Amino acid sequence: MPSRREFIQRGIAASVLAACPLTSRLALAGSSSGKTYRLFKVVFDQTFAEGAAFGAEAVSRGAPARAVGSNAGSVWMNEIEPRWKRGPAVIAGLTGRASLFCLELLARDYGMGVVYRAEHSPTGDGGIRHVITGPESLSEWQAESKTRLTAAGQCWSAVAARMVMNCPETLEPDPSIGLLDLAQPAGIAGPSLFSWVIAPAKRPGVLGERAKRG
Amino acid sequence: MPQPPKGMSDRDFQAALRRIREVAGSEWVFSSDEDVELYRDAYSPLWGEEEERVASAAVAPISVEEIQAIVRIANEYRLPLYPISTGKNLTYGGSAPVYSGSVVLDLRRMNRILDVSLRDRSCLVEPGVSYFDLYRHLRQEKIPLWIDTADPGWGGLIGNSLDHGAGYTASDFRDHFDAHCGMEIVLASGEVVRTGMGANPNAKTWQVFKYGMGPWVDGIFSQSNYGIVTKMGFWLMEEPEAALMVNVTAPRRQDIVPLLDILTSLIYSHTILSELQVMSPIMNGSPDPELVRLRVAGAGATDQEWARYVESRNQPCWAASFCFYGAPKVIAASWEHTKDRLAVISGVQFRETASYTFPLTDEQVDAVADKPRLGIPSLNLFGSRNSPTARPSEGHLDFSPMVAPRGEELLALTSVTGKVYADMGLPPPFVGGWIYHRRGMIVFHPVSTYRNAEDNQKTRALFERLVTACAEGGWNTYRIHANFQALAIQTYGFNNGSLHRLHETLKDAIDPNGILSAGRYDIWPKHLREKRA
Repeated sequence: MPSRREFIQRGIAASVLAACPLTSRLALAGSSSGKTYRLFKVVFDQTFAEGAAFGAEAVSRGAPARAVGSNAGSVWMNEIEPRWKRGPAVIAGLTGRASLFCLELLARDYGMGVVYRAEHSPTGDGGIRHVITGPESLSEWQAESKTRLTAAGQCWSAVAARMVMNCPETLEPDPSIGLLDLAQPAGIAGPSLFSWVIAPAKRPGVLGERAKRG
Repeated sequence: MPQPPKGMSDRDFQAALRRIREVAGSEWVFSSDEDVELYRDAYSPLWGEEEERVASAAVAPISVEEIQAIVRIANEYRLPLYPISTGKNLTYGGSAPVYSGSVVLDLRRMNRILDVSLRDRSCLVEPGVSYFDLYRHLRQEKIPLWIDTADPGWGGLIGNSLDHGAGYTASDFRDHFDAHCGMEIVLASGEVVRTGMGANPNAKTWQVFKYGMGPWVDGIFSQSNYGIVTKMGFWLMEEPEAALMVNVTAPRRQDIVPLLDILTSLIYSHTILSELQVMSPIMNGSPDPELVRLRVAGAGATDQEWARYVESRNQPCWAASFCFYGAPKVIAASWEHTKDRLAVISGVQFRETASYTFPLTDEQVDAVADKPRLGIPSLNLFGSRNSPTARPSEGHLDFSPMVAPRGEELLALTSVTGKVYADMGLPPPFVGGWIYHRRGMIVFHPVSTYRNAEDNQKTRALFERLVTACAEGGWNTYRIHANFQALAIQTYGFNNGSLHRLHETLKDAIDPNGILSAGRYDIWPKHLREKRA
């Protein structure tokens, strides 16, 4: 039984999909082949329309989605950290820069790291620029992600939800993906949003399951 | 590969790490580039420059015994260690050591909440316990006590209090070092000391009475490098029946004087218990040329000029916010009394912004807008940068001069800082005062840092001028990023720096090999002092 919040999000999802042109619908259609990460939590910043649409898409596809507003403190304290204290679990989302910065920094303590990070920035002419961060080995999937996001036009956030939910397990956090820079790059017309996946790294964290006293 | 500390051979460095691995377990000693990267200061004003302060390795012990063994090894090799608790105090240096090449002693694994006493309203914790951890524990156990959280809440109770951090609830708890009661410290020799009543092995009052007997030494372990604090007690606030958050505005610039005089009177008479913030919606507005001119003019701008400007903006010049705690009847009476006292300010306006009765449900907690005032840890400081209209900020340093909570002081200081900014061709900074500590007010503003050297050079120059100009005006910073600690300590230079010499004398006596946190608050061990001279 969907909660009231989920019901509203499904409504938003329906309206977003209805508004999407055919090309964008096609962009939604694909999915990753092979095993994908099982997501413990999908968080989205509902203060942005794109965040709400992302959440609605995630909910409609059965993801354990959680609206976080403009900061991730509550979901961190009540859901993510208690879960990570028991062991690693993959999270994904669409948030603002600051929320992702906090989650990336906190994730390091638990031996978790960024597998996939896509920056979605308004270009000022009504368009959105999508920049994917990731190690070289991700290039095929990055390219696929970028193509689909670009093809989706204004409906990119639903595609972004699809992408993080189809992130292949073969992708692992890469040390070359540095901590998100809090500074907003020049040449964009407004705050960026980020879709991302955080998964267990090879390097264990100082905290988490392994850190328990023997 | 990370470099060993200056003057230490790689052979000795590797030998010391091998010995430390035997103590802590190899999986808890981190020495790869990737490992060390995690201990960088994310907001460093020296990011990527040769002088950026970086660790050579890190070790995460699990017990006091492991720490004792590690410091004994460090003494043998003169290996500098840099203890951190949660290491997330980004605006003041994060987990990066002051002395490059130090090995970070990462205490995050020591994160047990050892005791919570409902009857004594106290707790005893290890260094890795964060505000999130303790809050969650109290909620889960349904213990009707509040923490006083730093903001953001990812900090550790011990680290924050040792750095003189502060929070937002009642005055007995906001000054986090003032609210501590009892410590356990591993000295540089490896010896363990308990302070206050904890020196009695049978003590039942370690978290009840601070002083014990003899000189009270706890203070020398704050903002210092004399020992590794491994346990600390804190007093906790009894959950009140209710809380009321309020906002008071005053229209004219000169109103700040009676506004703060009356509000501090209400604080000192315990009518207002919470932290109090006073901001200027006018001065924090968009920096148009007239505002810049008025702010830089300081005393040269007349009340009439300010009045004309304020009137043109159609906003109050000042807005104060604070909170009442207690039984509803007490809150109502306190608020009425506050309004009566402030009514002498013509045009003053009052607004209730939120009210709560406790305990709160989880959903109610989630919905609280100003969480830290109710002792709820959050990441709101970051969240505010996340709003649809806000431009995400770069990293920043906290510039935190301490002033007496008087309107004249606030105006004088902001005039000085405004001039520093103007001289550097920059718009004037944010204007606001925070009364966290019992008697002082911090006139804080953030100074941005970047990931490029050119901008950071300007930031450092600006920050240094702010520190110096404010100290000349009689306002010292109470706490400062590691990069500026030496400069700040110079501003505490009475009698040719006698206080600093005392700090060094203590350092030489307590940590003769200088293995702990070299350079923290400009306290250098003798061998490094001599090299720096």
